[in-house]
Amino acid sequence: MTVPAKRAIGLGTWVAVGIGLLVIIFGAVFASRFGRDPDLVASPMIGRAAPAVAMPYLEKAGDMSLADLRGDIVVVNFWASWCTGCRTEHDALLTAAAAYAGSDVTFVGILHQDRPDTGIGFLDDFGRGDPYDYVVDEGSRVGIGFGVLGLPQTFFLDRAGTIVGQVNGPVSYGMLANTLDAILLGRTVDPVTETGDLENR
Amino acid sequence: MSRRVSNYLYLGAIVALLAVVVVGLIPRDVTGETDAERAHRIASELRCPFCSGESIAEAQSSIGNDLRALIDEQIASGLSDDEIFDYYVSVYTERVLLSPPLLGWGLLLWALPLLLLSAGLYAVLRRRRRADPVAAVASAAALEDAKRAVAQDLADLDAQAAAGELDPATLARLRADYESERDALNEAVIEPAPHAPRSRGRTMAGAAVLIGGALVLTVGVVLTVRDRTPGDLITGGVASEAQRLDFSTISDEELEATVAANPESIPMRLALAARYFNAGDFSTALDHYIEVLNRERHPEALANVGWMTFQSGDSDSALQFVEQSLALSDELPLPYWYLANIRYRGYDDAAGAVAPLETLLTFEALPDDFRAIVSDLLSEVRAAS
Repeated sequence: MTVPAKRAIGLGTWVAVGIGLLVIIFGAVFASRFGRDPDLVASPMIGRAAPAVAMPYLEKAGDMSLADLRGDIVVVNFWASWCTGCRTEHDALLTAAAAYAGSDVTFVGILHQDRPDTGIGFLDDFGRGDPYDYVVDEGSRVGIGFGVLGLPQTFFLDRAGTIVGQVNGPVSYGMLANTLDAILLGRTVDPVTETGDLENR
Repeated sequence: MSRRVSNYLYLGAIVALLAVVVVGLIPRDVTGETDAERAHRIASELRCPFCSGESIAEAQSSIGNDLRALIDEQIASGLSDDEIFDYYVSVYTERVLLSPPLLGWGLLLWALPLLLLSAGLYAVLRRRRRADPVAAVASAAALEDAKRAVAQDLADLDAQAAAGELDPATLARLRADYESERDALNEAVIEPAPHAPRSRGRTMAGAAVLIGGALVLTVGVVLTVRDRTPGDLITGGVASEAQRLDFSTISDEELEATVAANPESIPMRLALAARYFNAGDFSTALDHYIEVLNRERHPEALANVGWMTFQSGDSDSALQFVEQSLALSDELPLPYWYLANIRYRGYDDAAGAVAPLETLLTFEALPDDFRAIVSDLLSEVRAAS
C-alpha cells in the first residue's frame, strides 16, 4: 500500500501567495499615485465647443456669450477673489492680454463662485487687464458647462470656438504665450497642463 | 444542536442578508414621483464634483445649490433621466456617478465580489472532495493497526481451536468473520497525495517573486511618499498656500479678508497673526493664534503664545508653551530666544539660559543685529551663572 511521503502544496499556501501578490500589486498601485491629485483626470472638454451661455458683464451693463467671439482666439480664465492661485497668475494674464491685443486674441475672465462686489474689490487691488472682458458666472452655469473642478482653471478656444487647451492651476506668462503662439501658427497645443492644485471654496 | 441544523441556519442567515441587499438595490417604483422627488433622486445619484465625497443632494456648498438648481431646470425643460446623467458624465466624466456603470472598469468593480465569492466556494468544495493528506496518513496508520489486530485475532482463534476450547460452529463463524475483515482491510488502498512534492527550483522561483515584489513595493513607496504639509491631504489634494503666495505683498485688510474667507488656511492665518504680534497688538494676535491652535498644534503659534503669556507675567504657562513648541520642532530660532529669556528673567536661572542661547547662535539665518543681541545676552548669562 502507498502512504504519502510528503505533503503537497496546500490550498492555504496558494491562498497566502495569492493574497501576498494582491497586496504587492495594490500597494504598488497606491504607492505610485501618492503624488497625484485624484481629482485630476484627462479632460473630457478638449475638442468640444465652448458652452454658449449669456454672461452679464461684471462692471458694465449688458451681457456676452463665448459664441459671440467666434473668429477670435479666446482665453477663458475662471477666477474668484478667494482663490490664492488666481492672485499668483493675475499679472501673467494682464501682461498676456496686453501683449496679444493686436493678434485677434480676446481674454475673458469669468468670476466663478464669488460675489460681484468682492470680485470688483479683487480687481481694484490687483489691477484690470486692458483689453479684458470680465463677466459673472451666474448660477455657475458656464463653470459647470466647462466641467470646472476648482480654481484657477484656464481654457483656450480656437477661432471656431472649440476648446483646444486647458490649464489646471495658475498659468504663467510663458505658458500663455507658448499656447497662444501655437494656436496662432496653427500648431497643436498640449491639451491639458497641470500647474498646481485646484482650490475650492 | 446538530452540525447539520446549524449549517442550515448559517445558510439561511446568509440568504436572508443577501435578500435584504438585493431588495435594497432593486430600483423603487419611480412612477408617480413629483419633479422635486425626481430631482432629489437624480441629485443623490450624482457626486458633487468637488465636495469631498458628497452627493449633489447632500452638498451644502454654493456650487451644490447651483448644481441642484440646474437639475431642476433640466427636469423642467423635459430632459429624461438618462439625458441628465449623460450631461454630467459628459462634463465631469463617469466619476460623477456615485454607482459605477456596468461597463468597462465599472463592470469589473461590480463583478469582483461575485468572482471572489465563486472562487471561495470553488476552493471550499474542492477541498472537501479531495482526501486530506493528514487524514490519509492517520488512516494509513490505523489500517496497519487494524490488520495487525485481525492477524492477532486469527492467531488467537487458531490457538483456542488447538486447545479445543470452542465448538466447531462458533469456530467456523468467527473464522469467517475474521477472514472477511482481513480481506477487506487488504483491499483497502490509501489514496496517494494528489500533488508531487514541490521541487527546489519552484520553491526558489516563488521566493524570488515574493522578495522581488516586496523590493519593488518598498522602493516604490520610498520614492513616491512625500512629507505631508499642514492642511494637506495624503493624496496631495491641497497644496500649502505658503509655497504659492508671498504674503508680504498683501495689505493687512486684504489678508484679513482672505483669512476670513478661508478660515481653515493655517499659513495665511499665521502670517496675519505674526503681523499683529510684530506690531505689538497681542490681543488680536492671540485670537488668531488660538484659531490656529484649535486646528493644529503649530510650533510657531505655541512659541508666540508662550511669549505673550510671559509678557503678561505668567512665567509658568509661558515656559510650558515654549517647551511644547520646541518639542514639536527644533527648526525655529525664536522659541530658543523665548526659552532663554523666560528662564533668565522669569526664573532668575542664568545657567539654564546658556544652552538655548548657544543653540540659537548655531542658526545661520539670524539677522546680524539680532545675532549681536543674542551674543550680548549670552555673555551676560555666562557671567551671572
